[in-house]
Amino acid sequence: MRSADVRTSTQRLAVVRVVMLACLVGLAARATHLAVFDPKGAARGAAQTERTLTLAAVRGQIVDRRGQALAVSVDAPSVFAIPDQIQNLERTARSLSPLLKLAPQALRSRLRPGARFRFVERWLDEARAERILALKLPGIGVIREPRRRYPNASLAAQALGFTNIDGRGVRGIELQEDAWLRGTPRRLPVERDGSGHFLLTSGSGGGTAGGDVKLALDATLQAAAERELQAAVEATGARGGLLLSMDPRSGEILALAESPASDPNRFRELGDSAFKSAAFLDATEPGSVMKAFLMAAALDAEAVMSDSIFDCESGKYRIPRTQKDIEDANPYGELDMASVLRVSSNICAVKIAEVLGARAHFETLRRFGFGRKTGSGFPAESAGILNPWQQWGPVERATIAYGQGISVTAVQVAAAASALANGGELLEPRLVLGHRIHGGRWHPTHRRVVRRVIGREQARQVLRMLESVVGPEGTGRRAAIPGIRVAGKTGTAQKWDAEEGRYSNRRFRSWFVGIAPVDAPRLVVVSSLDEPKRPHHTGGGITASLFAEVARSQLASLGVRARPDERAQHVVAHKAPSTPAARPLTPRAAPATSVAGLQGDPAPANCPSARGLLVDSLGSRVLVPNLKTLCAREVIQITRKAGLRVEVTGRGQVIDQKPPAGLPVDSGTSIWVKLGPSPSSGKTQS
Amino acid sequence: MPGSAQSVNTPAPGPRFWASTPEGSALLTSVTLLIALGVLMSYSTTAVQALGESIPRLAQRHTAGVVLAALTLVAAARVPLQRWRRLALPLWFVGVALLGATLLVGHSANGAQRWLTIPGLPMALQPAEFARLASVLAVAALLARSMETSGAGKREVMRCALLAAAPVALLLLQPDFGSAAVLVAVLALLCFTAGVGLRVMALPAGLALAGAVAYVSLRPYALARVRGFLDPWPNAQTEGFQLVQSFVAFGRGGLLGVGLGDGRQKLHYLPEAHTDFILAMIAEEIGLVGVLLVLGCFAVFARVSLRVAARSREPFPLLLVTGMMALVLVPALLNAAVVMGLVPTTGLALPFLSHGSNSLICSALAVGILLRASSADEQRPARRLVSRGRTRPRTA
Repeated sequence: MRSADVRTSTQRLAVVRVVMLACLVGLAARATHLAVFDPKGAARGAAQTERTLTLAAVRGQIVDRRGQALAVSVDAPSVFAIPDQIQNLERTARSLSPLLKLAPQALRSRLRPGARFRFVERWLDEARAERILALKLPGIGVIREPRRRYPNASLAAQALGFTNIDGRGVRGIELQEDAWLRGTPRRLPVERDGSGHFLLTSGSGGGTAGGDVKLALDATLQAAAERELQAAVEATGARGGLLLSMDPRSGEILALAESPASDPNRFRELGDSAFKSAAFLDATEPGSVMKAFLMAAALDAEAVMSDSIFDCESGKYRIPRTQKDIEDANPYGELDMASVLRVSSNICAVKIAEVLGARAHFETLRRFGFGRKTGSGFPAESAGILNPWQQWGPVERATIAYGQGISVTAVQVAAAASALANGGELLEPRLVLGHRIHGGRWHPTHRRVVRRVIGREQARQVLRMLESVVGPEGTGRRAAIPGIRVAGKTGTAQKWDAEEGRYSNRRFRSWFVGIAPVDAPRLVVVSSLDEPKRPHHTGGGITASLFAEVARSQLASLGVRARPDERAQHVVAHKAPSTPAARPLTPRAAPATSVAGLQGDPAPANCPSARGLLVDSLGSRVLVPNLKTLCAREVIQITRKAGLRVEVTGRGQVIDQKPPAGLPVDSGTSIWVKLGPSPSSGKTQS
Repeated sequence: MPGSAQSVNTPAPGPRFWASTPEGSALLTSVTLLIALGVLMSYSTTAVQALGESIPRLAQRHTAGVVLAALTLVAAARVPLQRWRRLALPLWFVGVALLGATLLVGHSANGAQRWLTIPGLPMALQPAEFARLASVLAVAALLARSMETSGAGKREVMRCALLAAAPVALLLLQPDFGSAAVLVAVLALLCFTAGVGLRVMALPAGLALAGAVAYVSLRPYALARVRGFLDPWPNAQTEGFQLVQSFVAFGRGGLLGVGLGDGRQKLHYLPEAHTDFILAMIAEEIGLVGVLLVLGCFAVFARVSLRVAARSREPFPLLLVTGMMALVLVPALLNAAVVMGLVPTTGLALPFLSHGSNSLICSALAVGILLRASSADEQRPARRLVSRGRTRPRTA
């Protein structure tokens, strides 16, 4: 039976029920408000979650004309800090210091608060990145960033330029073709979780992968040219030098060797001036090389005939209306046009320039492309210096004839010489042979004729005259190649001595420009050494030998056969059987790495199929990349792109490889690579 | 539930299973729904913390807790209500002892010492939950006795306060302000239900309120929570962060939710998404519909429990049922109010839904008692209850 108390309680329970249900209704109302009527929550949710992630496209490759990779992009680990998450700055700095080889003081400044994200060190090797991750330091992480790798180290470094740490081309082709190589970044709409991680979302976000660029350079020829150039630089004690090979029919630059060489993989230590291409960027005085173009101008203007005779005044001549005397190296009397070039007489050159007149001289040199950019598109290319003829004083009118008072780049010289070689048409020098989008087909660049410079016949006449330069009595006789007719011109430019205010008698720039074979030119080579030491300072010295060495092997690989009888005819024509034959510059340099037995060897003449064989055997060959100091991951990426197989032993980074870098091998060849602890990063756990 | 309704009306009772009354069925259905939703949400919210595992360990633990809770519920439903009356005081001592032990040897998380590990037991105990239940039992027993004799008056309130003082003090020392507040609120509700005069209750209630204000204003973290509560949006990166993230969950969810498992707020945005703020995750993933379902289940739970209580002819079952209902509903209301920014954050679990076995098992114990109270056995005339301790249901 219910007591009174229980009845009271039952009444009160009704109150409780009402209160409880009222609370629940209130909560329901509040929930409805928050979920349906209050836009703040949803808006903030979108704001804090939705992000656009910009992903740089993978940068395209740069390959040589045979498709061998010259620049590739690989992933490299970079260490970053999220300063807010670092719990103990001091301890973090101390733990990272030995691994990153950075002073704790320097590290502290990178770890200090004040930024949401900061790179601590970029592009580490894998082993160190793993060890840093293993430390599990709060606020320290590793991400993979694309890193530009140049598998052939310093090969064609100045032509390639390099890409900086943020993936932008800084010099050379990397800069010239930056937009194409870089592609367009993907802008992915992504969501971000509360701790800042990105969540995968669907959608491609557009963007295009970076395209590839094919260079006209041939890595095999390039490697050989660089070796020969380096040997010449060492033999002459020169400060540096360059060698540029061009196909005169197409303007393609087949090789561009420059010394000193720098490894673009190390651009961060070397600074970007180490990758300045002297061939494109340095304008210097060409010396007597200009006489070839003077002769072309004079013949084209019909100021002289090929059989005109000039008096060389026995080696001493005062420029009219001046106090300036000029001299020849040797005293000569009357000379025909070919002989003026053959002995490189300054006096006769000046007289020809007088006959030609400054205006015609200037205009023809302009037509040859001097004093303006070649149109190659190479970044920061120099236009050289060629003042308008109206500004030429009596001295310039004379000295420009033999290459003083005018500055040119090696590329301009090569292009102008190509015009002589191809019958008078100036072509745009071409370093880039084609483009392709990622995974697409190659779209070739096209040969572009800038203009006709001189008549076809005049060009042939100059070429024949220049052939005598390489003859036994010519200044460029050391440039002769047995079995191949070669035309050329030497140049020995005195450098301007700023201290003494006159041209130096101790510092020179030697030049040789050669064209071969004369009857159907396939190759123009400009070689030049900067301050070679006496007695090698002349263009007819080791500079000419360098041409012969390089041109011989390059012609061989182009399939130009040496004919022993050519040389014989040549010798007979000049009645000088005691010609010193061009000899190899440095015996050790010649066959070790190039296609042994084919280089400069007349043997191909005996072998009817040599030409086809040669091209095929080179065509499927690739240069072994330099894998030293790379990690396994990079090795695999690089060798795959080069079409090679790889066997890897050990852990760490590459400390040895077989075959060595730079050796041409068949594609598909297996490269043996030994990995070990890097000398700098200490022991790696095994 | 017409079938179960029939079974009550039959003169010869059918199998006297505790769910055989309409009240029992309703209770069991609402609680089962809540627990099932809790398992679902536990999986959804903990999977984020265990990427790569097929079933997250935390969700496994929660499911294990559900099994234990079910066993507890069944066991509790077989215990005659009168037995709790005898056990009340001993259990109170056990609860207080456990709280004391927690302060001495327990371990802390998030700045509060709330956990007790007992060797051999796979889970850590949270004695607060059990102590709350034991205290409610004790007070219900006390008030029932006074109602049976003289009626609840000032003396009873004093005694209640004494019984409450020890656990409340120990809870505040942990500190667990939320549990203490829940306990005080439930006990006050019991006193109210027991018929204590409102004027008698005014003084202790005022004292408790003053104590709460003093407690909060003396503690910087508690003050910060109040600041975050009063003005969450301008402080969205600091004190108001959790609350704003909870609002975001509601806003993102809208009416129908973003879909189960598809919530973003659990991805390290909303702190305690799987425990105290599980309701916000329901709001995001199932939407307002889900929240209303949860509130509706609790409404059914409260409504049915109160009906069972009101039907009681004896003071003790009445108070016991009211107490057990309040033990579940008060934290549920508080938790929902916290999640929706109506009350400062207190750190209370949402019964049946929040991750954590202690809350689940204690709530199940309460539900077991409620089921027992709703069952035919306890609905017999009072004289039948003279034979106390008869647990076996009679066979038909």
